Amino acid sequence: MSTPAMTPPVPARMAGEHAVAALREGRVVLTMSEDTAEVLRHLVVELATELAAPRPPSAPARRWWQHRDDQDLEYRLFPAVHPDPVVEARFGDERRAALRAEVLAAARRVLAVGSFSEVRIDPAEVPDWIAVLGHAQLRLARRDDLRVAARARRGRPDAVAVTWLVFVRGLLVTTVFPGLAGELRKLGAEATVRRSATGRRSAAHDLGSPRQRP
Amino acid sequence: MNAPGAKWSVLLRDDARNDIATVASALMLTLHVSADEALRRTLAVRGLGSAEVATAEDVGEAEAIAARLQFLGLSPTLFQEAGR
Repeated sequence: MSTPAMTPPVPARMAGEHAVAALREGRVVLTMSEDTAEVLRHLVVELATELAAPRPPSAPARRWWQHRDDQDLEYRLFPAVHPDPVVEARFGDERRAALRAEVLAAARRVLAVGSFSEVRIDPAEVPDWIAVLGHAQLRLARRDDLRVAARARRGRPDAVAVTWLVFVRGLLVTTVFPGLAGELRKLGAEATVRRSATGRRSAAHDLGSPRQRP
Repeated sequence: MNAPGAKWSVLLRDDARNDIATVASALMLTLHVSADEALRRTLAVRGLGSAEVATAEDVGEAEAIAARLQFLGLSPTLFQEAGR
């Protein structure tokens, strides 16, 4: 894990000082502080490097729990689609190779913008950004890893990086889809009312976009 | 692999529960559904652990949807329903 030290703290109420997004003339303008931009760009470079030169399959697992598909990066990014293992074995490698090439191409297009300090994203480029930030996140943490937030609060660099990738991706999609942002706000308000009624606090992982955090 | 008359379902697992916004936006981009419909399907996945987010008439169409969702970082699976 070679992620540089994360100067930005875990995204929270002050995250707007490190990353903001706005719609201007039909494009998303994503603005990040220098250190946030540098770290996120570095994570995308690392993703592109790994996709361009995939590691050979890891050594056979020595423990039963090491047999999980997601121990291998390519299987973690592009898990099985067909429930039938025979069909998946027949077509899975081809599908994964095609997807790897597609995400790598997207990562290269994203990196071609240069510094992430201020990025102008056309609507047609939004899927590239969502894909690349998402796969950079999956490179660092399993999909079902619900303890990332707790690890980030303890300052683990990979977990902090994941929270920033989630935060910036959330900023992007809620800016691109204001209707979705509105629906999420409604959802957040309903959850707040329910919590008030039951006196329960929200689960730490129960977050939509960081923008919707109370 | 593609029984005549059988419909294919694209299922999504609740493995991205940290990020409703991204799952819903991926559904909007892939399936061209409205924000409230995308959110409804996303929340169904969260509620059930795994739920259908799209249907397809044949395996090719189902695989194309699944590939698009995987490109956007989700992990769909396909399910073939019994023939009609």
